This record gives sequence, C-alpha cells and structure tokens, in this order.
Amino acid sequence: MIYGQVLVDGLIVGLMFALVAMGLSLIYGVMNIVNFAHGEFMMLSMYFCWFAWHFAGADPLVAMPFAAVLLFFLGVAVYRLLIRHVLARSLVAQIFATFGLLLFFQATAQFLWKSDVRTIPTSWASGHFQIAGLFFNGPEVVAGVGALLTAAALYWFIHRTETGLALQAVAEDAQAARLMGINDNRMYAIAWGVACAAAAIGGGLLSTYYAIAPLSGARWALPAFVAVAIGGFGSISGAFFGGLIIGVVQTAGGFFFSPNYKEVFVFALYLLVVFWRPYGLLGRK
Amino acid sequence: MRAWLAHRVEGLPVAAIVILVAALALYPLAATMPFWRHVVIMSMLYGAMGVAWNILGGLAGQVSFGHGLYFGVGAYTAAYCYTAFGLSPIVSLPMALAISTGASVLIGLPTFRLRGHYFVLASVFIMQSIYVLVSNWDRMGGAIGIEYPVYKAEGIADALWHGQFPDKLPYYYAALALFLLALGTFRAIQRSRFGMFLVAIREEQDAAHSLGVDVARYKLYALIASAAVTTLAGTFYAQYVLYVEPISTVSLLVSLEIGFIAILGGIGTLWGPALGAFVIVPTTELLRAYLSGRLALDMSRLADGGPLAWLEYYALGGGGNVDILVYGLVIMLIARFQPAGVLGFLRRID
Repeated sequence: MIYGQVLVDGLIVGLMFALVAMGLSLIYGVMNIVNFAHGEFMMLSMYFCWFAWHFAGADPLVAMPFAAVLLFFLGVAVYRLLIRHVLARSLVAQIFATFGLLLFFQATAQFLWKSDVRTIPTSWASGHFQIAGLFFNGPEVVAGVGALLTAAALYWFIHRTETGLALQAVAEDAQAARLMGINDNRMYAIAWGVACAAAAIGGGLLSTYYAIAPLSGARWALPAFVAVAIGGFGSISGAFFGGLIIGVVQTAGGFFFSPNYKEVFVFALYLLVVFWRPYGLLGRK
Repeated sequence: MRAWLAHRVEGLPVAAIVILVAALALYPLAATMPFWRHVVIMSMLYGAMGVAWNILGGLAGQVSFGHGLYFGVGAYTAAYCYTAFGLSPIVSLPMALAISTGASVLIGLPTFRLRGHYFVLASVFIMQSIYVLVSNWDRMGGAIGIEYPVYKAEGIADALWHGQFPDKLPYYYAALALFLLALGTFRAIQRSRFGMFLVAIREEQDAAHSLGVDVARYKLYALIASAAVTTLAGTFYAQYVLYVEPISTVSLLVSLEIGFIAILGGIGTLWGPALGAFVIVPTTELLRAYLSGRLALDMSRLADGGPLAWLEYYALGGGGNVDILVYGLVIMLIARFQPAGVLGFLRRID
C-alpha cells in the first residue's frame, strides 16, 4: 500500500513536471535553445495569481487564463528582444542570455516583493480525500489534472493544428520550411509564446497550494530539465513521460531516504541517463 | 629597455602593465577608507576567479557552472580545519588543493565526455546537488555555515598563522598576489603547447582528436589548474570574511557569477576577465551600498504609515539582491549586443 501511495503521489507531482518539461522541450526542439528562465515565467504567473487574489479576491483558476495570455506576450517579447539575436551566436552567448533572464526575473521579484513566502488559501481545493485506501491532497490532484489537460492541449496543438505542423517543419529544417513559405521567425516567436503560456498555467495551478516565492519556479524547472533529457531533448511526448518518471523518483527518494535530498536523486538520474543513453531513455539519435 | 616596454602582451604594452600593477599596489595609500579597499579586494578576488574559469571556459571552451564547488572546497576546508582543529590556513591550504584536484578528476573524467548543452546541464546539476548536500551537512554547519571565532593576533607571525588581520591592508596585498598569480597562470598556459591543445579542442574537438591530441587528458588538466586557483580564492575568501555559508560559496549563483565575469570582459582573452571584474564588482558594490542606505530611510518613512506607504512597500520591497538584478541585466545585454564582451566594445572603438 505504501508503495502504491508513493507511486500515486509521484505521478501527481510528475504531471506538473511533465507540463513544465513539455514547454522546455518545445523551445529546445524548435530552436535548440535551453531556456533556463522557464521556471521564472511560472514564478511570475504565481505572483500574478497572488495579486489577483489579494487585491480582487479572484480564485487562482480564474486569474490563470489571464496570466497565460499575458505571459504569451511576454514570451513573444523575450523572443523578439533577446532570443532572436542570439540564435546564430555561440552556445555560450545563448546560455548566458537565458541565465541572465533567470537572474533578472528572480532578482526583480526579490527586489519588488521580497523573499517572503506567500500562499493563497482557497476554500474549494483544501482538504484530503481517500479512494481505495490511497490518500489524495485536493489541490495537488486539481493541479495534476489541470497539468494533464494542458499537456494534452499542447500535444494537440503541436500535432493536429496547422501552426503546430509548421512548428514541427521549422524544427526539422528551418531553411526548407522557409522555402515552403513558413515564416520561421514568426514560428519561433509562437513557440516562445506558447511555452510561456504553458508555464503560466503550470504556475497558476501550483499557486493554489504551493508556496509563492522568487525561487519557487526554479524548484520546478531545474528538475524538469532532467525530464527533458530522459525523454530526449526536443521530444514533446518524451518530455511528458520523463516528467512522470522524475515525479516518481523525487517522491520515492524523498519518502524512503530524506525529503532534504529529493532533488539530488533526480539530478543523479540525469547523469545516469546522459552517460548511459545520451539521447534519452526514449530518444533516438 | 624601451623595446621591452613597448612590447605588447595581448595588445597591452608592458609599460601599461607595469603602471597598472604599480597603481594597484599603491592604491591603498590613496584609499584609506575600508569600504574603498574592500571594493578593490573583491574586484581582485572575482577577477582571479574569472581568469581561472577562463582557462577551462575560454581556452578549452568547456562552459562550466560548477566552479562554486572549488571555491567552496577552499573556503570550507579552511573554515572547518580552523574552527574544529585550530589548524592554520597555511596548513589546510595544501589539503584544500588536494581535495579540489581529487574532485576535479572525479567530476571531470565522466563529464568531459559530454558536449554542448549536456555538459552545461551536468555542471549545473552537480553544483545544485553539492549545494543541497552541504546545506544538510551538520558538521559543516548546514545551511547556516561556519563562523570563525574572532581572534586577536599578537604580532605579525601570529596573525599570519591564524590568517586573521585586524585591518584590510594585508588582505589587500594577498588579494593582489592572488590576482597576479591567476593572470600569470593563465598567460603561462595560453603560451604553452598545452594551451594550444586547449584552443584546438575548443575550435574543433574531433579534428584535434584525429591529429593525436589527447582531448580527455588536456580538458582534465585545464580543469585541475582552473580549480586550483579557484580553491585558493576560496581559502582567501573564508579568511577575509571569516564566515562561510553554502549560498555564498557552493551555490549555482556563485558559479554563474564566476563565469559571468569572464564573459563580461571577453571570454578566452587574457585581460577580459580581469577587466570584467573591475567593471561589475565596483558597480554592484556601490549600488548595494547606495540602495541599502536609501532603503533604510524609506523604511523609516513606511513606519510612519503615510498614505503611500503600501505603494512604497510593494515598489521598493526589501531592495535586496539589486546586485544580482544588475548581473542579470548586464549579462543579457552582453549576450544580445556584444558576445565578445567589454573588450569587444573597446576593440570596435579602436
């Protein structure tokens, strides 16, 4: 029973990691950029939901779509102002561009809102329930289901819509896509917008139960990179399953050893994966 | 003599180098206030680490965000050996260098097989894991860290043995020595066969390998050299601030700052990281000193509960971390406009 509980808890957390990892993988897959600031977009969305609740009494799930729209445009702006100009540059310039973004957003949040932890007490989502001997925490289940739905929508967008197919074409071969009349620059901007909107939804869902602080996003995004590596860099469905795996590994590590070290197990998993299967557990060369 | 003075070391005439070093050596005579000495001490400390990072990141092209580990090895070894066994940093430094070399080999051997993003992410995850482990390591003071007991030295020999001085001057010259040592090490490697192998690895690893360059071995040597200087800087830092905690030593943030110094000045160049440190460290130190003074005023006004008090609260907040904010902003601007760093700007003006 205890194993079942750990597994279920891990999968519920894993759904959130899966959503975060899919956003990361979308950007990496389309333009080979590792977005270290992904978690910071989640953090901004969490603060947006907190302010909406604090000043307008809005439920995070009501504020969330607005955050998603805002962050879509923020993502597009970040692409246009920063990322577009480093695409042709060296790996070092690209990494420092997104790490700079991470430091800038984190420090701005610390500067404006201090490092104090904030929470949103929601009445509907609090409390636990029990099914077949397994305990569930209300808000976590809601966040997990929300993440699953968003992940499904993201998958549908990429594989079933015309824009999604154009994104895939650009990811495959930007030059050939351009010759087919696809505006690759526009596609890159859309990829950033969509990834950031997905991050915003993740942040909104988390804000119903997770502590809101300047570093809250990084705690989700850093392990999510491991999910991306497990799934094979750039694979959207791989990132989803990678997210579930790290959710279970983190929960099991925290439960059977010590919650202090739960992230270390996930990071160790990354090293195992890249040494053993450099293209991911599910990926191909 | 004149020909020698006009000789250029990476674009900088020897005469200019002599003047700059003399200016640094004489600076404390002009700047007697502890704050102004502190600013230059920190610039030289970060400059030394940026130059050391540049051996691996600039010459060999292996971008590592794990150098906080080696900095932490230097700082924690000195702090722990002193507080637990009363060992002088003079004794603990060789131990720290041995640990740092051991860690370099342990980490370098497997990770240097990785390339590009895979390598960068591996360094990030290793750094973050070490941070978590040290933060939970009770013997090392956990997240709080280790504080030195204040020691009043009697005489110079005693002060040297304890590595604690009542005034900033000895620290200043120790930092200067460290800074020059880092520059000398970089220059020596850059001019050697070894340095050429590193550049060959950076430019085209497969080609270098096919021409018989032992890629794994030279990357490892570069890391060991780079880590050793960073460890020295760590020991100096511990003895200087007399307080060691995880967030300011073995953290990803510190590792980023170290790499950032090199990028800001000009990656792969001799003078770039030194220049970068002297641009960014004084800027952030001054900004922090200025803002903390101003914010103290604002907070006292907030206590009066004026009508705009809540606005001030949200708009000014703690005002902390403004140095990180500037780091983030400048680093983005550099990546966006001039990846060759400040040196790149200067060359363009030239």
